[in-house]
Amino acid sequence: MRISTAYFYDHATQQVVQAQKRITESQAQLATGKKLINPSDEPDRALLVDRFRASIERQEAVKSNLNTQDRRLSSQETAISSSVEVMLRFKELTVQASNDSLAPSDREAIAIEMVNLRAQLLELANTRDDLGHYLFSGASATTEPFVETNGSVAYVGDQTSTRLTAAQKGHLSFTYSGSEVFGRVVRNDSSTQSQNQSVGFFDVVDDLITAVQGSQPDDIRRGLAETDQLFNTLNLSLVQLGADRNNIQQETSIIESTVLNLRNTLSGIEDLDYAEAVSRMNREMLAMEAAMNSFSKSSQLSLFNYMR
Amino acid sequence: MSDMLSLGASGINAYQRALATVSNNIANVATDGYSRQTVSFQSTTPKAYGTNYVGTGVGIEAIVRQYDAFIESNLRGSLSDLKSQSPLVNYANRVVDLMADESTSLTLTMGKFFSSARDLAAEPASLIARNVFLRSADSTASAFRLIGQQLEAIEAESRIGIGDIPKSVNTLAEQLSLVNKQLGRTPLLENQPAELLDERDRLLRQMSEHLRIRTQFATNGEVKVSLTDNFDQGVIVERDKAMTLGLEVSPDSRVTMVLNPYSPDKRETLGSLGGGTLGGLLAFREQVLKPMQENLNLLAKTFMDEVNAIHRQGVDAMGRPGEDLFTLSSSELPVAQALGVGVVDPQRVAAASAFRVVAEPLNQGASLARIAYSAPPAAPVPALQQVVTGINTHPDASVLVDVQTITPLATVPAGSKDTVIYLDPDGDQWLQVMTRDGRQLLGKELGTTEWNLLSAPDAKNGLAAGASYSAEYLNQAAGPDSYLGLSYFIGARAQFQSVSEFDPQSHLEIGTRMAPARLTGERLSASATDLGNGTLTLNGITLPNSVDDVHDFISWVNSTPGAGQEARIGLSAKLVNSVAIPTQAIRLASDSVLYLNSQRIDLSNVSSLSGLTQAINTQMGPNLQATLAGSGELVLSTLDGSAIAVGGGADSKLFALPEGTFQGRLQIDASPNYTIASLPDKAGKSLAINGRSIDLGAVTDLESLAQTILAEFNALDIRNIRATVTSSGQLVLGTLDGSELRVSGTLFTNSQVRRSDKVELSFGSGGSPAELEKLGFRTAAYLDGAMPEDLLVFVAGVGTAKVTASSTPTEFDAQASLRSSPFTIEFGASNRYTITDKATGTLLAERTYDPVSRSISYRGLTFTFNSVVEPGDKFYFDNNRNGNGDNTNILRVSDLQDQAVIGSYTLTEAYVDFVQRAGNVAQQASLAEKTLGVVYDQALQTREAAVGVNLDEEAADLIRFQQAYQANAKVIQVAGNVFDVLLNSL
Repeated sequence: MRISTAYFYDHATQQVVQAQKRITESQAQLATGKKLINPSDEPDRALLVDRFRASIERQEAVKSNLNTQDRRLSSQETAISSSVEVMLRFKELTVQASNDSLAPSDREAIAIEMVNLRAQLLELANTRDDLGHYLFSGASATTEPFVETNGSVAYVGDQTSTRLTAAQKGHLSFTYSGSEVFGRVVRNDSSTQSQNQSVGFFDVVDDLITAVQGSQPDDIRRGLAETDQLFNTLNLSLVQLGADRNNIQQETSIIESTVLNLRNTLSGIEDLDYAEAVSRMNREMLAMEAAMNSFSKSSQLSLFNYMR
Repeated sequence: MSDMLSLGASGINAYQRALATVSNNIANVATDGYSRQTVSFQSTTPKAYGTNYVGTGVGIEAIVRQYDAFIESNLRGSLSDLKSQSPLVNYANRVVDLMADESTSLTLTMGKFFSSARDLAAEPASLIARNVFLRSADSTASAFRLIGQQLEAIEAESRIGIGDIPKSVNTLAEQLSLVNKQLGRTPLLENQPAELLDERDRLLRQMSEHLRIRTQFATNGEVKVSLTDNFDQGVIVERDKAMTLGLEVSPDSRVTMVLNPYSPDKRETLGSLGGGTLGGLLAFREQVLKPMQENLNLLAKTFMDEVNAIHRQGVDAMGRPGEDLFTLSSSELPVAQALGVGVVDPQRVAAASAFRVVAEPLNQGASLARIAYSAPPAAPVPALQQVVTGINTHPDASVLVDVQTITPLATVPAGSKDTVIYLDPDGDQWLQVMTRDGRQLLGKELGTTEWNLLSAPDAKNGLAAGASYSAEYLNQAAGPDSYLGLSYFIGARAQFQSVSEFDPQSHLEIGTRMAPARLTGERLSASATDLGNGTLTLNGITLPNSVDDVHDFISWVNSTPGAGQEARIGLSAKLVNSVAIPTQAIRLASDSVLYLNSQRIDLSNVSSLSGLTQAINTQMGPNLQATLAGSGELVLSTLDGSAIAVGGGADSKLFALPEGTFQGRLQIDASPNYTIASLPDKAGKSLAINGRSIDLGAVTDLESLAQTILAEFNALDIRNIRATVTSSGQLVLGTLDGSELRVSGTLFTNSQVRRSDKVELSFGSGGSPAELEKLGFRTAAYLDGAMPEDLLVFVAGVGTAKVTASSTPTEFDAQASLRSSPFTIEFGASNRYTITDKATGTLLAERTYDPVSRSISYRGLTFTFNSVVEPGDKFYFDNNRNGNGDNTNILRVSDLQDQAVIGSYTLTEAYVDFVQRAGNVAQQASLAEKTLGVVYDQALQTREAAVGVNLDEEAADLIRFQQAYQANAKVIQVAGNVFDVLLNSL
């Protein structure tokens, strides 16, 4: 087969250019530490990288959501445990007041502290978070949940639950509305023989204070039992809160391990194997050198050199 | 001549040429498209010497251009193929780089959008989170715009690339035609200058870089070039003529190549052109760019529509319904490039649910409720407009329907405005209208048996499951006692209405006035008697038993209303009768005959229409009168409304009309009525009636006001003014003769003086549409204004009935309607519960609760209760105005991330799929480019092997020919020597 001189030169140049291109690519990979320089080099891999990135981003976002919710739950926990302590003292005072040996004036003195405690409870029920949103108003964040009109306190918030995306699938749901935490009691009024009647948290407290102020032993006794119920409701919320926060912790750790897995896989997809890349680059440089050397040698060969 | 000298000379000559050819080869070693030339030698004709032949030397047989047509065509083909791949690879790679790059990839941008929705869901009341969400919506929109614009830029660039090709091809075609012209001068290929042929091949090769060509060579080397697979069409070069190639771009950016675009008769549209740069560019546009742009726009549109649909269903931080989150800045641009965010105020982000249900904190049961909403299913009954087509309510336009007591005739869909349904009964038939929860609004009260039939579980009549019956709102006048305070009525009615007034001289409209209500019936039937006891009511007052026929009715209406009958103050009734005969229907001839009320009219002197009216009026006496109306009719009327009998001869009737007796019609007129509920503070105020100022000095209450008004007008001897105080304590002002009454001054505001004249004929306990028909009135169900919910219309009774209706459908937003009408669900004993409208106290539904499913459905809302409910427990449904901490709706936006909305793909998956498809094309093209590169290289190598210049070879030839030349020179020298020897020997 004849090789034309022009073809010989063109071909040799092309080979060198190819070798140079390969070296440049390897060099760019080494410089960035990534397998992919341009997405078009390997679209499938580039898209996979995008998807992994998006998944990691999503998991991180879900985690930060759960943290936000945990902070809120923690504030609620604080407010409820404070309420529990106030209720404890309230109960103590009720027990004291139920002592038959006390004089009415002693009971009035007790009632003064009870009124203070009631004010504290109302304040706790209307606690706000750092953004100024009420903790116990359900989803009506800027509506004060417990409103006092004419001495009687009514709940005006709602019970809409907060739902969040869970780590894997579905949603987590949280509800700590004032109407549940500061719940009502069902009063069975034996004196009137009437049907069971619901009485709100603060109405129970108010009725009890009135009873203590007026030294009405029956009502104080009833109040003592009802206070126990209120106390239990508060404690129940605390337990529920603990469970929810625990749940969030679990979810968070699931997310953390998921993210770790994702990151490992992503690294396998997009990160460069340096050892392989360096040895490849050496090989390519060797090949280029060989191409250039052999070209310069063989191009010197010409019959004209022998014509004298 | 065969001698050494000439032999040597022939060799010298030949090898000089050979050396020149070799030198030419060497000189052209770097010339593009040069084909190596070789010299072939031939011994010249030998000379005969006796019986021997002696050679005469050497000659050049030919200088041959090395050429192989097959190799050349192969090279061109593989060049076209190769060149077609590189634009595909380059451009498709650019698209992939754009769309899969971290900084621009929509996978990541959309992911961030959904994450920010989730962040907002964690803190829905936070203004910061709302702001972040809006910003991320904005960056998503701008990511779409960026990619859209970049794709368009690539589109424009590739179009320019395509646009350049015809220019280059045209230049090459022009040059080829010139080459052909040169070649045409010589008939034989062998005699053509080699350089010219090289030039031809070079041009062909260049052309095939741009697009695939077919060639055909003539014997003298002239070439014919076609751009298609055959030579019948698409020929661009033929002999010395070149055609012009042009391109056309359609509005949807489709590119078509055209030959001779500017000469209509030679114009040729070329189908798909392949190969070369052009083929590559076209393939890129068709296979990659166009689908990608379409897909991107589809993605943008789906994204926008889905998010907007959810966003519109929610409410913002201020309790207002959400608007579109994403909007298009222009309807001209593709969606992706026009995408923008329409919401600016972060408080307008609709994160909360549009609805809320709150459990009464004092409920004895511990249950909370949740709401879900989905558009309510339509009743399994056709809409009214489908049953009674058209808006013509004339009896003749009625449709005949089967009367079925337990299957509704139709639904009046929510939003239907001012619906009127007429029934022309055949016997004892009824119109019934009720809500889907069994609240009957109009008609006759149902018995238990009928209701049980109606509410059977398998009855497909549009009633809500578990609906119960209530007649509480049946036939009630608009007000606190009517269903949701709505206005509805059954029977026949007329209301005051606005009419235009015209100036009598100029006939121009000068204003409008309120005309008093007037109810006019159909022609009475002759036997219109025997109205049942208490069957009908007029303005709510039951007709007394004494009213038995039309005449009783008229005298009752015209009698002075007694106590408790104030509702008919100002009403009057009479019979009216007029028969209009179009003048075209009057045939005045000598033999015409006319009987009126059995009396023959003498027509002997009648020759004109006016003569005819005169003849009738003089001969018939005062009760029956004939007039000529301006509208071209002869009108016969009776003053007392009595019947008019029209007759004629057997075949010489004056009037071309069916003969017969025309009964009168019942007409009930109201005079203007104004109702005033209470007397406001009169200090410093004034009052004028019909322009006359009333002295308010002695007025203390409505009663004394009525007295004062009457006294003022009596003093002026004006007696047509009415002023009475009804038993319910309202002042009714009006006139006795139907003339207009104007109330002015500052004492009453416009809303305090309520225009109230009306004529309403409805049913008492036993009445029916058939009774009303006896008085000449049609029964209709009136549903005034727009209905806030679907209503079911029944025609009860037996047989078939004639029904017609008019109604204006309006846009009905079911969610907005629910939002504007909060209600309360209250549980009672034995699992019954009621739904009560908050504003009006209307009992909307009463049903039985299913404690197993723990859910209640009402108008698309589903309430789910998470625990046991106790009797007395209440749940309040409202529009979530304060729900700025509710994340229900924004959570739905974030859930969109995982929903399959484009086929079976989520938004992200769809995007990945689109880009992957482009990537595949690019990868395939890149692979093809490599393969085709090898093919081309081989073709090139083959060509170079055949026709390329190898310097070593030429060097060898040089030496060979030089040596031959030297040898021949030696021959001449020897010949000279021989000659010298010969001379010297002499």
